[in-house]
Amino acid sequence: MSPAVQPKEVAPIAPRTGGDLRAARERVGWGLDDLAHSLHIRPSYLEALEAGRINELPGNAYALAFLRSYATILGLDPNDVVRRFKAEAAQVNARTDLVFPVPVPERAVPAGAVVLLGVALAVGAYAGWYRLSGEGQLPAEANVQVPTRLASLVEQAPRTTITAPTPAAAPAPAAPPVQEAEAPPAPLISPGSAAAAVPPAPPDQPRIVLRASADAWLQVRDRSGQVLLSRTLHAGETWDVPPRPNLLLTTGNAGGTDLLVDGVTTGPLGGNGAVRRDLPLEPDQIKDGKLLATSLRPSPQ
Amino acid sequence: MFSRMLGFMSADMAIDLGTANTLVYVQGRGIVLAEPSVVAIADVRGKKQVVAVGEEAKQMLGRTPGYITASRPLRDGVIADFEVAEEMIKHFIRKVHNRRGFASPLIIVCVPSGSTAVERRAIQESAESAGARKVALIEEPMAAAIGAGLPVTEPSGSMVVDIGGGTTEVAVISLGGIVYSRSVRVGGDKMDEAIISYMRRHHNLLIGEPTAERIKMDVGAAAQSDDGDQGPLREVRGRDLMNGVPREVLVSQRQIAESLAEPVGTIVEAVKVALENTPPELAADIVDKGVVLTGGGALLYRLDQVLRDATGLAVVVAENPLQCVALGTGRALEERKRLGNVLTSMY
Repeated sequence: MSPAVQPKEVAPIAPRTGGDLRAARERVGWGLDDLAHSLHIRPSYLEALEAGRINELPGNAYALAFLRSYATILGLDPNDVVRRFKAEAAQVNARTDLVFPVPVPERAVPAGAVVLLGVALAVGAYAGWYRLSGEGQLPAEANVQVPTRLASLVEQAPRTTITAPTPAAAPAPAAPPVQEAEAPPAPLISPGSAAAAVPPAPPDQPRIVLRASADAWLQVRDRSGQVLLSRTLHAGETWDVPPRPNLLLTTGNAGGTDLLVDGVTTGPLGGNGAVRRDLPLEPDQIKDGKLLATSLRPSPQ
Repeated sequence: MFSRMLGFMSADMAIDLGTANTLVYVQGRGIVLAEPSVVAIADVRGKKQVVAVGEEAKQMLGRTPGYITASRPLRDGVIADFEVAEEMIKHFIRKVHNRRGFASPLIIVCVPSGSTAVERRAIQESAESAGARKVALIEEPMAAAIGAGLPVTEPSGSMVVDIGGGTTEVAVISLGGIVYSRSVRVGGDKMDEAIISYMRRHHNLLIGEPTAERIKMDVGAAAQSDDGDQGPLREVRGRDLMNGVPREVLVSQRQIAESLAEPVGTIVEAVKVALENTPPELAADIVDKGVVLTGGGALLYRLDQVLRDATGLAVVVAENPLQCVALGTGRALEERKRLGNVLTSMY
């Protein structure tokens, strides 16, 4: 009964019904071979059936069908025998598990993984591009937002724009930018007029402020190529140039861009819509008027 | 999309559309209907109307007045009368579905393996026009083998002999597919006809199909007993051909077995031909495991014995032979994701 007694064999699952069948067969006086001969079922299967080792039979369906044939030939009621056998061995009720052979997929990498990898790569590439291209912009804007050092200058900038033209005897305060734009050579840097009103900024503070009198795309970078500003400044917007040497300015609308050096305006850098590239942003040069002079020479219009 | 919504509200079903009986298996509920494939149609002022379907119609078979025709729309496992078959399927769908307006189920119907494309198309179309959302077909021997619980997907041959009302299907199945199949148009109907002609020839008695079927079920046998004994006796009533009056005669099992010798011989022959055409490796498996009989014909007394003696193989009868095909078709419905490759469609 215990598995230790029959170490080599699987424990019988339905020994009682099988034993009954064997007893019935022996009562009739038939040997296993006689039965196997008349049923054409292999004697080993009949033996397994009698011993209740249904695992040795080719399948549950065959086990029950063999049992039925066996019972019928002995004159027993096959339904009754099958019912008792099923009650004893619940596992014969289990459905035959059907697993159809599936062709091996042709591609080694599943399509889903490829798509996922592609999407991940695309996202990674976009993130990398965004980071690299936006790098120059981020510190520049951060500079604008640093309030402690730059707040005074940011506040000064609009004030100076208003105060600076007044000595030039303009009747309406709103008009001066237009007048300046129409007469490029007129507002030469005149250190005496505004320098008195605004004290020169300390050397570590930004001395140059970019101001857009009309919408203008501006780029500020240093000679090593690092971009500090690259965007469109709308009319009236200002941007403080950080106090660094070797900065270059490129403007997409020279007529709408002017520079404030220590609060003094240079006037437009060129004609409306003119593109000027790589203007050196050195405060002293601008004050001397060199920048403006070079600006007028290559003017296309 | 819309049809899917309709499908959500309807119960999908598997139909064993047999020549003699139709069984309907509804997903999740099992076999819910098993009725004879008989339809009684009345001709009311030139318009045909269904009077009865199934068991009720079978009672009318051969007993109808002029304006009613009780007929069996299937012959030899395939549709003989398209319109009547459609009415019958429609009736069974309605009977299973209580919500009649919305019913639009997926239907799996089994077809004999020997049926032609035209016959399959007829079955599919009649199921479609009876209100199916989608129709899939399954070959009968495969359904029978799945329903009998044979390990059809294993790399080992299984032989199944499905003896239905109209056809006998012999098939060797391995790895989830039919390796060889043979379909002969001999089944319960041919046995009934054999009994009718035997009674006419030997007893000058004309009997109807239902009577012949009853005799076959009662005392039918595939072989005479070895010890020459007559077996149980039955009275058979019919009309005497000589003087035209109704009469009753007594027949023995031995006589019926004699009359059934021809159709049984055809079945034995079909099995033998199938065995001859089986690849040797699979033949070896069949010698080991034997042959499984399914279908109503498997219940014929001593048929397994006759096949056993003729082939020398272990011929055994499956459990619930009448329901094997319906159960197998139902299992294909329940597990259609996994068993999808046994299903076909004509479109």
